[in-house]
Order: sequence, then C-alpha cells, then structure tokens
Amino acid sequence: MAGRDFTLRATPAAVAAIDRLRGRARKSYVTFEVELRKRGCGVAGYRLLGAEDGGYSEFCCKRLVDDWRVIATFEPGVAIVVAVGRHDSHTFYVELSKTLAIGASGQGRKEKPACCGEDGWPSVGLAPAVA
Amino acid sequence: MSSGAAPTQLRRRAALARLEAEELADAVSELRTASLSQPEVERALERVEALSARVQKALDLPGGLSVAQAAERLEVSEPTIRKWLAEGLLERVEGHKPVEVTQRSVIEVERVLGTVRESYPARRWSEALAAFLHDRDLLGQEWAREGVEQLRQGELIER
Repeated sequence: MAGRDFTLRATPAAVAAIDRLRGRARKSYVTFEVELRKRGCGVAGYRLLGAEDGGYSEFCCKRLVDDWRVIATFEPGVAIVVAVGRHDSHTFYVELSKTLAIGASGQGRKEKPACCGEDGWPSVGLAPAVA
Repeated sequence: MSSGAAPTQLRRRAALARLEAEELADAVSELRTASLSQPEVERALERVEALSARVQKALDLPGGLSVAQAAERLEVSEPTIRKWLAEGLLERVEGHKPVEVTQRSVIEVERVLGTVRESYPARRWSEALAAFLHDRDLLGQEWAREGVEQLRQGELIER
C-alpha cells in the first residue's frame, strides 16, 4: 500500500491474547503487527480453507514462533487481527497420517495458497499482491 | 437381510426409482436446451427438484453403501474408508452388519474433496484433504472461534 498504512483493528479476544504474549512470541507478534500495518495481506501468511466446504475462507493464518498463530482478515484499507493462539500443526499432521490414513500429510503441507491471492485479495484495489 | 426389507419390496422400490430417474434424466436434458426462457428454466428446475424428492422417497430404505462401494466412489482403499469411519469423517449406518456407510456422508466428503482440489494447489488429493482438515481444526480451536464470533458481532478495537 503506497504511502498509507492499513488501519489496524483487533477483536477483544485477540487483544487479550496479545497482551498475554511473552518472550519470543511477543517479540515476533510486535514485528508482525508493524509489517501488517504496512503491507496488509502481503505479510499475513496463507489463506485458510473454509471449514464448511473447503473453498477459500476469508481468513489468513500467519505463524509467529513455535506453534503460535495469528488469524487475520481484511476489509478495504483495514487489517483485522481476529485471533491469536497456539496450534500444533506438526503434531496434527502426524496424527492425521496415522488416524485417517492420509499418509502424504505426515510431513505437513508443502504448498499454501497466498493470503493475498493472485489479485490482491483481501485488499483488492488498495494493495498489490505481495509474493 | 440387514436392510429389513423383503426382496420383492426392494425390487418394486428400485423399479419405481428407475422410473423417476428416467424422468429426471429427461428434465436435465431439457435444462440443457439453450433456448429456454427464464420462466421455462424455473419450471424445469422445479420439476427436477420434485423428481429428486420422489427418487429419494422411492429409495428411502435403511441401507447404506458397502465399504467397497464407498471406497470405489471416493477412489480410496477399503482400509482408508474404515479409518475414516472410525474417525468420524464418514458416518456408518447404525446397527448394520457388515458395516454400511451413509450416502449423505459419502456425498459430503466427495463434495469437500472436490472443492478442496479446486482451491488447494496440491497435486495429491490426500494433501489437499489434509490441508482442509488442518484448517478446519485450526478454525475450530476455542481461541479462534471466540475471535471469529466477535468479528461477526462487530466487536473490534482500534490498535
């Protein structure tokens, strides 16, 4: 976004979680938030698939450090931090490979759809897609 | 017989369902006609919906798909179907032995697989399915659900 930062908002739950962050997780989040204001979806990780049908959801996920995750979404000119919490993806994939016979998933996912998408979503018209 | 219906009764229901299916094929063929006006399309869609309901009623038997049938439909192995049943990804018909899988759960898994394959850039469907399940699990975490709910309610704080 040239010349103007994104407005940044957060849910009360995310604010509370951010306040509880300590050490490396806190440092990582602070850096992320600064970048999020400047570059929006370009630094917000990858697009999550929808829980209902597997299509693209309106949410992106950014990994901080260890198993800390930030879920964000966007409106024109606005970045919204929806939630901050822990999710052990590695263990999830290992368990998945055992319990659901999805052998290929044991090592985690290799490819992730970019948060911005090809056309700059979710900040269409305001910021170009950042690789 | 596990379904509890007599063979003659099953044959009659199957014959009725075939009749409805034939009519359904006609209705779909009609829908493919490019020159239909909007009201004609609406009428054809209503006919398809009514036929679909009648087919479902004709086939309203308690039996589900066999594990082999489900495996063939979803293009996975039978052991995979059994694991998916054990984990709740597929639903079994209660009280039926040998194990039967509900048609609805097969359709739902098939739909998810289809959508995920389109939206997730993985060559292997198993990676796409794993990604879907991972993201569903992530968005299902209590901290994530709370945040999404607050977002839906418009509860936002300026940073």
